[in-house]
Amino acid sequence: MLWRERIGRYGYLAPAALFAASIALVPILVTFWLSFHRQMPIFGISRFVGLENYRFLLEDARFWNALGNTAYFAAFSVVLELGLGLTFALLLNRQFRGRAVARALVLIPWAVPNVVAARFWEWVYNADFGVLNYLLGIKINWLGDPLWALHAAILADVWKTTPFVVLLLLAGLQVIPEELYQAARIDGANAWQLFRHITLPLLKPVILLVLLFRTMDAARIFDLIFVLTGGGPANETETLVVYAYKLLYRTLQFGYGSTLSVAAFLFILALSLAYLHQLRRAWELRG
Amino acid sequence: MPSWQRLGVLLLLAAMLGFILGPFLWQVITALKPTAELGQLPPLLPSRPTGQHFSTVLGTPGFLRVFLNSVVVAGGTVLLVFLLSVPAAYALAKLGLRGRNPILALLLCLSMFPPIANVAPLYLLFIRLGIRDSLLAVVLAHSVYTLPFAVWILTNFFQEIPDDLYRAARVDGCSRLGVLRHIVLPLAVPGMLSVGLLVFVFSWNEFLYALTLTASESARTLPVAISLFPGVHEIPWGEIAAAAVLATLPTVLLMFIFQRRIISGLTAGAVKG
Amino acid sequence: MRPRASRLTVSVGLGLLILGLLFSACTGRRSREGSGPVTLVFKHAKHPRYSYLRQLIDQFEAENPGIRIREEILPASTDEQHQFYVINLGAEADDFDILDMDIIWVPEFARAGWLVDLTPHISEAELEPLNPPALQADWLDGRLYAVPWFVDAGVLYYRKDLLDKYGFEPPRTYPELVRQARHILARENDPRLNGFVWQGMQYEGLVCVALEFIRGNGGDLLGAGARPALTAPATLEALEFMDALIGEQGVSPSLVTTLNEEASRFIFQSGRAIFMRNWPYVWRKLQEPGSSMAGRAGLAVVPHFPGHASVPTLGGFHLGVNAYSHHKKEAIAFLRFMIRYSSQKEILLNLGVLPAHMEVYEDPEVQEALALPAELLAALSLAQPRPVTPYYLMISQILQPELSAVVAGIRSPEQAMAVAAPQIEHLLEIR
Repeated sequence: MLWRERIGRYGYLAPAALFAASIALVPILVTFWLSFHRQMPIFGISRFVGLENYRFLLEDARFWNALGNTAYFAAFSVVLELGLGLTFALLLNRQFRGRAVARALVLIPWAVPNVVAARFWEWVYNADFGVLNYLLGIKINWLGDPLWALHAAILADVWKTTPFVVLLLLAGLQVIPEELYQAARIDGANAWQLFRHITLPLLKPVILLVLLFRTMDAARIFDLIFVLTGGGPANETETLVVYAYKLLYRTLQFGYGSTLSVAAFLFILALSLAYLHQLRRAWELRG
Repeated sequence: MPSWQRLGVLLLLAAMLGFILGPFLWQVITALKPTAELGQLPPLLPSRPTGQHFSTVLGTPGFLRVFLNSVVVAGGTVLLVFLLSVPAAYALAKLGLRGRNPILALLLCLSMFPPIANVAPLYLLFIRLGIRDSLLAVVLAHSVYTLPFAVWILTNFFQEIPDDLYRAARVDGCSRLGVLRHIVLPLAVPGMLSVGLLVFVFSWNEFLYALTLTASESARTLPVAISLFPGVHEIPWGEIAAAAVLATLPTVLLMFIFQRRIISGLTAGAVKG
Repeated sequence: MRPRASRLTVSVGLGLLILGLLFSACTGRRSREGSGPVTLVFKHAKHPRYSYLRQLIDQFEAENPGIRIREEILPASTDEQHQFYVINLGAEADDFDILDMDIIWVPEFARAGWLVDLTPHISEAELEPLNPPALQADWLDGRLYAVPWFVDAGVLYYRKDLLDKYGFEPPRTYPELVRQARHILARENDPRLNGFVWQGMQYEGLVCVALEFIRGNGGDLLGAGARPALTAPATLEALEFMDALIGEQGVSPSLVTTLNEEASRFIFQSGRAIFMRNWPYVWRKLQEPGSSMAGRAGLAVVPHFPGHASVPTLGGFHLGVNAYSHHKKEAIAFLRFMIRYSSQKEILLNLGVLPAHMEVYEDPEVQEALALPAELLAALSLAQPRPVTPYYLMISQILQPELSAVVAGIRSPEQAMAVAAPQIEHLLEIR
C-alpha cells in the first residue's frame, strides 16, 4: 500500500481524534494526577501521596456501599430500559394510524430538561401531596423508605431514558432487509420465530451498543439521585458519583474526590469491556 | 392479523403511551394550576386552568435570548459532531484501518469519566484558551462529550452497508469521498438522524457544563435559565413546570418532522444487501 | 438526501452558526482596564423580591459616580452556588468581584484564601450594630473576611386556629408540643392531618434541625476544645427524641425523612400539619393572597427541652470580596454601603428578608410598615450559628448520613454517633 494512500485513509479519522485528544484528554489527565495527591485548599495541603488515596479507598466502607448501589441501579435500570425500549420499538415499527404522532410523543421524556425531570419526580413521589400515592390510593413513603428509595429512582430513570433506547433500536430495525421476513414467512415461520431468528440476531449489534451507552450513563447517575434523595436515607441510595460530588464540591477534598472519580471510571471501563468483547464478535460475524 | 392479536397490540400501545405521557401530562396540569392549588390533591385537575405560569415564563426578560442561545448551542453541537464523526466513522467502518478496535476503545474511554470530575479541569483549559463564558465553550464541551457516542453508533450503521456496494462504486471510478456522499450517507440516514436527534437533545438539556462554563446572561442556555427560577428557599413549581413544557416542545417537534426519515431510510433506497 | 442541496444548506447553516458563535463570544465581556467607569460584578442568589436590589444598587451608583454594578444571578440551590464558587475561585477567576455567600461557607472560603481581608477597611462602628452571632462567622484568626447582609433563624409555625380551638398556648418545650399535637390529632380525627413536620431529608437542613434539638437540650456538636460532643448524653437524648417523634410518639409522619423546606411548607400551607419547623420566609408566603393559612397560622420560637433554653439555628447570607478581583477598593465600598443603616432598612422594607443590622427593626417607619411578630425578632436574637470552623462542611458531610440513619430508624443514636464521632475526631486531627 502506498504511504499517501494510507495517510489519506487516516485523514478521515484525524480531525475527530485530534479534537477529542486536545479537549478531552487534558481534564482526564488532570483528574488522574489529582488522584495521587492529597489536595485540600482549606487545610492548605497539596502534596503527592502516591497510592495512599487508593489504599484508603479500599478501606472506605462508604465507597463500597456507593459501589453496590451504583451496580444495583445500573443493572436494574438498564435491563428494564432495554426490555421496555425493545417492546416499544417493535410496536412503533408496525403500521398503524397515528404512528407518526406516537413516534414523536415517545421522545418526550428524553426531551424534558434533566434539571426539571428530577425535581418533578420528587414532587410526584412526595408521600403527602404526591400524585402517585393519590392515584394508587396508598401511603408509601417512596423516597424515605430504604426499601423503596432506590427503586423509585430507578423508575424515574427508566421513564427518562427509555426513549433513547427506542430511538436507536427503531433506527436499527430499519436496516433489516424486508426480504428476509418475506422469505421466512413463505417458509411458514410465525411471529415469534421471525423475532427470534431474524430480528434479534440482526439487531444484536445495535442492542449491544445501546446497552453499552446506557450502562455507561447509568453507572454515572448523579442529578436524579442527588435531587430525589440526596443519597439518603442514611446513604442507602448514594451512588459513586454522588459521593464523589460531595467530596469534590461540598467539602473540597480534590485529591480523594478525584480518586473516587477514577474508581467510577474503572468500574465503567470494566463493564464496557464485557460489552465490547461481545460487540466485536457480532461485528466480525457480520463483516 | 387475527382480531385478538390486533387488540393486544392496541392495548400494549395504550400502556406504552400511558407510561410515557402520564408523568408529562401531570407536568402540563401542574403548569396550568393556580398557585394556591399546587400543594393540594384533590382536585386532580385545576378548578380553573390558568395561563399565568406560561406568561410569566415567556415574559421573563431575556427568555428569547436564552432560547436562541440553546438553539445555537444544540445546533452547533450537532453540526460539529457530524463534521467530525461522519468521516471518522466512515474510515473506521469502511476503509479497513489498522488498529480500528483500539482506536474505537480509546475514544470510548474519553467519555467514561463522570462529568463532575472533569468539568473543573475543562474550565481551567477554557480559561487558557480564552473562550470561557461563550457559547463556543459550551459547544466544544458538548461535542467532546457526545463525539464518542456518535462515532460508535455511526460506525455501526455504516458497517451495515454491504462492502460489495463500496467496492463496486470504487471500481466505477468513484472517489472515497464520492462513495461517502452518494452511497454511504443516503443509506445511513436512519442512524444519522437518530444520532443527530439524540445529540441535539443532550446538548439542549445539558446543565453542568452549561452552568460552569458560562457566567453572563448572553451565554446562558435554557436549563441554566430554568435553574434560576427558584429562590433560595421557594420553588415556583408552576413556572418550572411551564418552562419545562416549553423547553420540551421544540425537540418533540423535531422528532415529528424527522421520524418519517428515521423509519423509512432503507426502504426508500432500492439497494439491498 | 439530495447531496447538492444538502451541501448548500449545510454550508450556509454552518456559516451562520460560526458567525453567531463568534458574535456571542465577544459580547458580554467587560473591558478590564482603561478609562470609563469601573464595572463590578455582583454574584448573588435569587433572594425573595430580589428585583428590588436594582433600586438599591442604583442608589449606590448615584453616590459613587465611576462605579457601575452588574448583577449576575446564581442558581437557587446552595449546592450549585457552592460548586460554582469552588470551581471559579479554585481557578482564580477574576470576572466577578462581590460574592453572596451562605453563612457556613465564609470560614471555608476565608481559609482557602479566596476572600479579601476586610479588617483595615471596615470600622468597628460599622460592625457594631450587626447581629453578633452572624458576625462571628466572618472572623477567622482575628481577621474579618465578610459581612452579614441578612440573617435567617429557625422558627416554629403553628396552627393558631387549632390551638385556640383546644385552648392551647404555643408550646415552649418539645414535650409540650408533643402533648398538644397528640391531643389535637386525637380529637380532630383527620387522617390527613399531621402533628409536626420538619426537614428530615439527608441534607444540610437536617443538620440545622437536629442542632436545634441538641442545643435545646444543652448539648452541641462540638464541645470544649472543639472536640466532638456527639456521644454526650444531652446529644443522644435529643436525637432519641427526634426518632421517637416519628416512632412511638406518632407525632411526625414517617415522610418527614424526605422533606426539605418547600415540601414541609406545602404540607403546612395546605392545612395538613399542626406544627412546622421552618425558616422565616414561610411567614411571608403564608400571608400571600390566595393562601388558605392567612390569619390561621402563628409563629413562635423553636421549642427547647425542660430546664434548657431555645437555640434556633442561624442561617443567612454574607457578602465578601473576591481575592482575585481587580477592583477591591470599589467592591469594599459596596459592602460598606450594603451594611449601613439606610440600606439595611430598605432591605427590610422591600426585599422580604431580615437584615443583619439589629437597629433597623426599631425604626418607627419600619414598625409602622411591617407588623413583624415579636417572636420572630426574639428568634433572631437567640439564634446561634452552626460550629464556626473552616471544616464545618466536612463535619456536616459526616453527620448527614448518620442523622438520616437516626430519623429513618436505621441506626440508634448511639450507633450512629459512634460512627460519626471518630471520623470528625480524625478530621480535626489532620488540622
